[in-house]
Amino acid sequence: MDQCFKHASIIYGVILLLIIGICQAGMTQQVSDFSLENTDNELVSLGELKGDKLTVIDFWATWCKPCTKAMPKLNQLYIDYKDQGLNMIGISCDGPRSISKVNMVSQSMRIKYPILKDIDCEVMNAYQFEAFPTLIILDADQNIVYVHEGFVSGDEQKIEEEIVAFLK
Amino acid sequence: MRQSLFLSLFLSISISYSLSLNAQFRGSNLLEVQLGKLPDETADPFPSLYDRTILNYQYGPFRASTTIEQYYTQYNDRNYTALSQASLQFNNKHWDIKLGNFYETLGRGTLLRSFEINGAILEDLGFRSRSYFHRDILGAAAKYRTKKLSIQAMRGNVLNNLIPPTFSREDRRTDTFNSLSADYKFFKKHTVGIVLFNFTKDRDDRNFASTSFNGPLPGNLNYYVEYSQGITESDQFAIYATINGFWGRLSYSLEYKNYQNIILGSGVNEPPQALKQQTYRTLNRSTHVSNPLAEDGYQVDLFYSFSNGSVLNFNHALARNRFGRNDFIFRQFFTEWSSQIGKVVEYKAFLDYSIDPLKGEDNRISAGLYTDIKLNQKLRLLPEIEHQLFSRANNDVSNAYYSIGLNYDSQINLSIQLETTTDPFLVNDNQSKRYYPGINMRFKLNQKNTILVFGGERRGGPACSAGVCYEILDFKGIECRWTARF
Repeated sequence: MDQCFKHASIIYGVILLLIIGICQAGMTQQVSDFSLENTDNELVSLGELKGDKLTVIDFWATWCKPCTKAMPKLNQLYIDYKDQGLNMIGISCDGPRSISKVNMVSQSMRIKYPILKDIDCEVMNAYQFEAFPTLIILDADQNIVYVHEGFVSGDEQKIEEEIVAFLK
Repeated sequence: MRQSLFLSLFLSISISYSLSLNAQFRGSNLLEVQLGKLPDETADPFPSLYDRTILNYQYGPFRASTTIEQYYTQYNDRNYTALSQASLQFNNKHWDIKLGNFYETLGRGTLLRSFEINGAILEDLGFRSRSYFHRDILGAAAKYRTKKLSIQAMRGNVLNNLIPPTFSREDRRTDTFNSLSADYKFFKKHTVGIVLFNFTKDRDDRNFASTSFNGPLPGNLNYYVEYSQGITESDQFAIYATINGFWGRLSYSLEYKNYQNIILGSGVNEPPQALKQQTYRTLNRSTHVSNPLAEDGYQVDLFYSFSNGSVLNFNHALARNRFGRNDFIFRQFFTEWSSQIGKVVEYKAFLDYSIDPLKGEDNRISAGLYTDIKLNQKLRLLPEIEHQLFSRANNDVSNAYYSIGLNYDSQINLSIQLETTTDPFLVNDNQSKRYYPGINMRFKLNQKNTILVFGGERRGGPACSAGVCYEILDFKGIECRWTARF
């Protein structure tokens, strides 16, 4: 009986936290500054790379097909809006098996925005994103104002609409 | 006994209060309910519930985090509620300090690799208890870094994720390590790294040293070399080297590996496989799993992107396992073409030829076509087909995968799929072919909540994700998963 009560109390506790969390779901989250190596092996921070108005972060991996499908489209968005206060950062979550292909894949697609390498995927996991790719848009204060998980053709229009709206 | 409830209440109230004080509380929950069983089980289908909650509290450079896992069925010996992770981290420009459960990889993982496979729930055929698929470290790590130099000291016990949370911490974390590592940048972009690593399991105590070099070379090239060597046992070593670069629209990478007796404990380390990470259904299941006891080989990967956006990828890998006087040589030749027809149809086609003597699979040919057809501004049709043929012990085996999906505005995804196999290991005596029909639904309620529903029969077998291979059990029934972030 004691054991049952212990389990039940933990479950109810978790549910309570969940309810409180859901109630707070409308609140924006802020991304803390982080430092990762770029494809030139230089340690760079979010503070150094963030855009004046908006920062788009794309979490991707070389083995993820929707990710590589999205990247040329994101690259075009970066080219179109980089002069309007937007910067874009690609964070590769490739582990030891595929990290050597990060440079190759991004160069092959002629990606112009900075690509960072996070071998333990710590930044993405810290914000509990689970899908590849996940794209987030941060405002000037590094608050997450938009999240887009997965990618099918046509999603770039949706992302562009959000960028345009937040740049205004 | 009421302590847990009161603690949760206290945490909830303090966390809610802290939200107004510029601190951050965030979390996620994964809830999966299954009503089903292994397809060949004679017992009635049974309901089960798996839940994983992560709670994070951040105040400036400090972050506290906990993970609670629960699994409940009608079988008491499989059930548990466990505080499976708790950590405290401090992170600023120069310092990165971690206490409790954390993830770290040294170099490319020849001596230490921890990981978390997002969204993967592991079920072991022996224990039949489910838990999140991750391998973390319980201990402490401190790293100091500048633009040129980083120094890290770590001590911890690594999780053996094959043992479920129903077992004690001592049973699940028998591997202990201590490490001291440093990276130094020279000539601007080149890095040299050294690692001193001590590993203990039971009374077995071993020391290792590792060094790595990486940086750019003339001609748009980059290199990475890692060499790890046992000090206590000199026959333990790992050599991994890669070079990659681009020339016009052609990008390429070459990898070389040579691993001898370099499995530490229950799998503390995981040297790079130097094999392509496949996401196609038949190829993912057929992935050669690297054996660091005795394996050498190489991988060549070429990408050519055309000006119209089409991409051609070619990959060749060879892995040789030497056991006694016998060599088992795995060879794979893979090519993939992705392109589009007009503005309406996008497609990817692949062709693969492999020989896998360890699995006894000869002349394995796999081919597939994935299509994405735009029906209107919001609706897309996604037909997918894969076929695989090989011979094993004078038996011809064929595997096939068919799927037709509809995607509406990236919010709703519905697909009907069918897998078939003639594999003698899987078909029953009175069958010539086995069928695995299923329906998948994915519904994104909003940016923070997603519902996934599967109904039907799922084919198990090896699966590889993020470079880690594991076993998925067959399943027949209904499965519903809700993931939420808050």
